[in-house]
Amino acid sequence: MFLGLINKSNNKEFEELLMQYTDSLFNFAYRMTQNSQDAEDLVQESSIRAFKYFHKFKTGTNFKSWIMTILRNTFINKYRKASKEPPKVALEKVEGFVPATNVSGAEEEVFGEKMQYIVKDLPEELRTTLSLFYLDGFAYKDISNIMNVPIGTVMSRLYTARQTLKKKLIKYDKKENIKNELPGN
Amino acid sequence: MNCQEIREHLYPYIDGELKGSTVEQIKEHIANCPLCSMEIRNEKDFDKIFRSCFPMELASYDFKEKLLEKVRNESEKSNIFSFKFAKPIAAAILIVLAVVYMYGSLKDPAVLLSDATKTHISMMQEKVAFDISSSDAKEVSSKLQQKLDFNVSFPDLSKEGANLKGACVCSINKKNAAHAIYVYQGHKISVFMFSSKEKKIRSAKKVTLNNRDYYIKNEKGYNSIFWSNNGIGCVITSNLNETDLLYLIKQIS
Repeated sequence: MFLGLINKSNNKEFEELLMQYTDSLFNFAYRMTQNSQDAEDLVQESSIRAFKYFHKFKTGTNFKSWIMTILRNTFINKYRKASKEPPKVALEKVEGFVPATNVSGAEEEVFGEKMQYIVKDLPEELRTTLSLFYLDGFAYKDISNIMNVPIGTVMSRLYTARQTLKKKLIKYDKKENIKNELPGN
Repeated sequence: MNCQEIREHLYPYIDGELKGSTVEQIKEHIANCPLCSMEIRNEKDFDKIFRSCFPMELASYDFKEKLLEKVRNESEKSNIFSFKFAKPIAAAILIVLAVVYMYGSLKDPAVLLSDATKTHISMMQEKVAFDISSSDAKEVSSKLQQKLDFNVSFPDLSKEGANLKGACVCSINKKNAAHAIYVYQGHKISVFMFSSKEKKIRSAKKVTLNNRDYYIKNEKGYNSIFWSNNGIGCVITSNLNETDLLYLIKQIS
């Protein structure tokens, strides 16, 4: 009876925490799987796993970081093996880079799409590191825990991702400029 | 700190991962270095743009509802799993307790006292017919002795003010017993004698008088006291209080 009450109380606590972070989980899963259906499946599977191991979660520690780690591990164990990643986007399809400071409205939307294409083309480790840092606001240490890599690796991946993005954006900006300068344009 | 050192700390600084004097040194440097200041500003702009390119992908309401349902199903499954084992364990414990209780009840001769109380109540309600109507203790004992296979010896308590009214054979704990009725200060008293191997009643209150153990129990407002002497069990039952009954017993013993 007493144990039953404890379980009930723990279940409620888990449900509340899960609902609080479902959007973050889905967002993170979407960045990794790159499609809504796989993201939902990943969140569901990870949530069930987290529920089963909730007794191991230490109250007062970071639940978001804890469940993100489970989600990340679930992704590695299942989805990555299944090679569900979408085909990489050919760089030629990415349109020219427009300097961000000058964009607005429709142009900003187009720029955003270009950036997303480029990010999708990054290796999964870099993409996930970017997502955890920029979109979820995790510190290096949290990312290190979630991805189970040293902090130095997190810093290195972030550096590589940033440099790669910049290079690709600049490269396409140049290509577009050349195209624009060709006769007939 | 020079420009090269600033570049080494550039991203941790922008990302808010640096603390203490390093942050102060960087701030001091960029305040006086337009090149590093511009580089940091560009990086911060890039971060801002990058974040704006990736709007938060929100989970649908339907999905959240479905997710909650799945978790609750899982919770029920785990409860069923625990109940699956809890029920047989609880049943086993109950069986063990029942066996222990029944064994204890069988071993504990408290039924002697219950039977005595019931018979006394029947006598009070005049449902019991006296086979022997006599106030002579020796005569009563002698007549009962003919019907029973153990030594029957009711005491003469007339000096103590308890007068014998009669006697009969009854059943205590499924055995034949001698039942004598006394009247003491207007209270009827039943005295039972029977062959008995029992010497103690665990569930009754124990009192020791003159190196002999007495077991007292109150049922339905009547006090019954059991004691054993040389294989003969005796019970005295009445609505008298314990002290008065023990006083009479002391005279009998």
